[in-house]
Amino acid sequence: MDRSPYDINGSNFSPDLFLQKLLKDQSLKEIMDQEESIVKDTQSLHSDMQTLVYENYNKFISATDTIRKMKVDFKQMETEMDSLGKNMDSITSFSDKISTTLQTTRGQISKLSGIHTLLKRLQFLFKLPAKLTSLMDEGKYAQAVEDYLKTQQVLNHYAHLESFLGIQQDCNAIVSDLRNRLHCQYKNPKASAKDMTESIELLLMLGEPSEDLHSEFLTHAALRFQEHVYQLSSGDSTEDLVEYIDLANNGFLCDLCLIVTAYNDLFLNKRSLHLSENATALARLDDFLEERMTEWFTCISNKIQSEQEDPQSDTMMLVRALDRFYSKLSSVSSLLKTDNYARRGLNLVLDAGRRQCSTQREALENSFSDWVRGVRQSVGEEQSQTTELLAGLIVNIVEKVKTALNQLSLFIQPDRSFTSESEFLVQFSLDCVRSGLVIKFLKHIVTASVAFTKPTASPSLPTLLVLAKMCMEFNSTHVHYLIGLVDEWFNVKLTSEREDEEEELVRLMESGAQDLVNHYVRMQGNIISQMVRKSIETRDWGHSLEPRTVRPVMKRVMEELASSETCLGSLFEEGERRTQPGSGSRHHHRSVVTSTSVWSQSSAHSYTHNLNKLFSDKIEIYAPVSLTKVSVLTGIIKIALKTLLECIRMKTFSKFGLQQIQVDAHYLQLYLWRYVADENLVQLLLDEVLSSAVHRCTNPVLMEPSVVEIICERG
Amino acid sequence: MGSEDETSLIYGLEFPARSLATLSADTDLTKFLVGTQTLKIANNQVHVVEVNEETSELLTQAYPHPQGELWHLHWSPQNDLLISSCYNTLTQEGGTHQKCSLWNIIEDDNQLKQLTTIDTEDETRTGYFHPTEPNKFVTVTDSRFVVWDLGKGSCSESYTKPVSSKGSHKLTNGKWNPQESGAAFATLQESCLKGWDLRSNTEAWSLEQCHTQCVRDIDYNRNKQHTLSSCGDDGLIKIWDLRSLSNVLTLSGHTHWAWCVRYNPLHDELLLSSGSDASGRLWWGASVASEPSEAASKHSDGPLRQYTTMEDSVYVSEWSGGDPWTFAMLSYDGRLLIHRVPKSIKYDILTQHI
Repeated sequence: MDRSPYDINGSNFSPDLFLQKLLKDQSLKEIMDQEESIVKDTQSLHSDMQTLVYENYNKFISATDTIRKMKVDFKQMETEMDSLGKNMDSITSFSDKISTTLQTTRGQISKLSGIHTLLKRLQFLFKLPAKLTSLMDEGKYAQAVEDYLKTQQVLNHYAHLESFLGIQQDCNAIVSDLRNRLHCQYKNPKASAKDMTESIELLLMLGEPSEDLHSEFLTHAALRFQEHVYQLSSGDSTEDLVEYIDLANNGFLCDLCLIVTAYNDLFLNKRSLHLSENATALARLDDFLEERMTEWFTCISNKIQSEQEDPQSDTMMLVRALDRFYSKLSSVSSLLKTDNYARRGLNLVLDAGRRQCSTQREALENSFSDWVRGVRQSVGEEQSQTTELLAGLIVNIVEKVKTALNQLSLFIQPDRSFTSESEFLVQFSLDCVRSGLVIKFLKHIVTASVAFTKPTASPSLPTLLVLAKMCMEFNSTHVHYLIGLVDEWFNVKLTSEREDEEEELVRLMESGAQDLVNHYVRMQGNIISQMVRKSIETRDWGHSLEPRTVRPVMKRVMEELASSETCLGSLFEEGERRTQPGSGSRHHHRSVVTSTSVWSQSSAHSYTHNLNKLFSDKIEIYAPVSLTKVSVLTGIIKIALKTLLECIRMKTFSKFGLQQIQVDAHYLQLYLWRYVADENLVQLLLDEVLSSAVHRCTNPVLMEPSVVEIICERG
Repeated sequence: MGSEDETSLIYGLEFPARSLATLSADTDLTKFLVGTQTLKIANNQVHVVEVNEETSELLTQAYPHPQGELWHLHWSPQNDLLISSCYNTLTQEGGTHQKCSLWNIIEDDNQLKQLTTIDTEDETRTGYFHPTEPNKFVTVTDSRFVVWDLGKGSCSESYTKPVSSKGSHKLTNGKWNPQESGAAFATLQESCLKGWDLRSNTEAWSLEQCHTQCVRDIDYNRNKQHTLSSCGDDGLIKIWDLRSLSNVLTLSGHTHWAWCVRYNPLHDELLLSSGSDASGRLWWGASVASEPSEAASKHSDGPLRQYTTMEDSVYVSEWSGGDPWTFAMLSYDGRLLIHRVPKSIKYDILTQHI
């Protein structure tokens, strides 16, 4: 490292070089200082060294002393060890002597004690019959069996000696009596399960064939269960469902558990049994269980069913009962060594849930028809309330569905024992609630509403509109809302299939609304048609007087339309009109009168012909309408005007008859435009009406348009 | 609807028309009778339109009918020169009156020879020759139907049934039942259909409200007993079983009143109808036909074709008496359209009997 010869602490330090360098490089003063410091250092080093030497010396002296002392102690110890060895030798020799002396005595003692035991046993044997009898009398069968079994082997061994044979026979007689008693004991229907178990156990110990025993055991157990079943199915109506389930759990199921445990202990957990025997025993037990559990399930399911049929039944109660039922069942299913029964139990719960859903649905359907009946009645009373009726109807439906869902959501509360089964959750939520309740009910709404369009039904017209609007509202919002609610509350995962179901429902609502509105148009159209037709058919048009007024029937038609409009207006959107706005005085612009006044009969026919050709689109009369006020009214007016046309063609008119039609048509022209989507349509139909009348007139002279206008304005 | 092979023949009249009859006495010819309807009474004509099956040309002849505007025509099923017409005449007082006359067609003179006139107080709406007995004729008036015995030269009333009393609905039409040797008759009245037994002189059956508002026309199925089709203001065609008085099939499609319905004379699974929606329609009704057959599966009951080229109401339509695949539709604007059943349907029907 530091190889510098100038480093005073380094190993290569060269004092000469250092000195030279010092003398060469530094001033005198510095050299003097250096010297002084070196002297100081040397002195301190010197004193340090002295201290160290002194300390080491002291330690060395004390070590020498210690070693010397040890040398003396070891010598003493060596002599003591020698004397100990001698003593031990003498002890050994003494002990040998003693044991040889005692040898003979010990042999005698052990022989004597052997004889004593033998005598005791003999005494036991001789006393055995008496003891067994007394034990039996006292009911201590277990002790008796134990004693008997203990002596059995000995007795067998010495059976050739008469006295022993006697004892054995006595004992056998007593034991066979014992067997009988035991048989009686477990066959006694009042015996507790524990007694039974004990008896069987003893009989097994006595060597009864286990096959007989386990079948008898089960047979008698079955008898005991008949009692339970009777009790459960007798239907004591005072208890509620939860109490009933508790009773069933504690009585039937606990007993069953005891029996199974006992059976397992007695027959199955014995090593001595052969495999084949074991298998038969197991099969017997399975059969037994199957029968019992089936009985049990039947009882419970019957009870639940009858409880659910009661309209006042409480969902909370039902769910609690099912909860207890299932939790108990799943807790014992480990004992029953199969989850078969748990699954059946789950199915039972699911069935109950499904039934609950369909009960709820039926209740909803009944309520729905009540509400609709209510609507039909109130609609007859006053017209203006249709909006409230509609709102009420919808609120009723939505709220009632929500209430039902709320109730059903009790089934899927997380603390229920069966909600941990995902299979149950999925089936219940999807099949029972979503499809079975909500979707089916909503479909029912449409079907029940559309049923009013059947020829046999005769609803009032506003009812049709309310129902149609209801379907429209469901189509736009409530279907999504309710299905969304189900999906949220019941954790339904959305798949495209489920969305399709929802879409289908929406479409169904739409087509339902369409059907109802179409039917409304036909019904209202028919009413007006009928008025128009009667008015044309019953009049003698050949002998009409000169028209002074619009015929009253036309005014009635307008009134009918106005009331229809009011009703429609309160429920439906206005809808689009095809004509441009701005011509406020439109009802003046082209009157039928002015356009037809120039006709003569000869040209009438060809005119109609040409006019018809103008229709690029033929007017379809019974055509579907869109769901707006204007479109519905247009539909009705088309029917009315077409009827007018067809009826006129069946008649023959005099001049004044024709003029009356002219007045009526002008009147219609004045007032109908405001209702329709396309004013031209009214125009065209009225033109055709008038041209047909002209054609059917014997003396076709039209009235002055100004006069027509005056008459109409006056009317 | 497609029109593959359906080029139609058109015959135009100068005047509106709503009466059409078909010749059934001669089963080799397709001949139709069309009557005009104009209040210029003298201008009215009856046109005979014959379809030449080979050349598909029309052979027409117009016969003047100056007695009145025509409302109904019928062609004797036994005599191809004998026709009946119901027509409207103008009275002195400016009113109208409807009568019925029987005519002989004199082809050479281009004339109709009036044989007899049936004129009652009532308005005579329609008149029909008996389907089998040449001497029997029936007229339907507003309140009754009357069976006439066409003796030699003159005619006399043989049976009268007042059906409608004053104030109630008037009769609009009636039809012989082509079966039961023509002893049964059906009448139409508003929305009600009634059947009469002429032998026992009683009402045999009645169908109230068979169509909403009016029933416009009926046609018996001559190939199947107790079966009748009707049409009306609800735009529906309905088929009835008269034993149970039940509606066994309803065909919907007309977008306004259905005015006329006809069974195809040979193949009763095929129906023709027309209405004031200016359309004519062919329907399939095999499930209630005389021989419900396998071919029913080729089409389901319902519409087969619709003909919408007409521009005005089609009040009448008829099958040809000579060719079961030809039919005529008459629209109010005076155009007679003669069509053929589309070949595909024709073959479907023909092959089902093999």
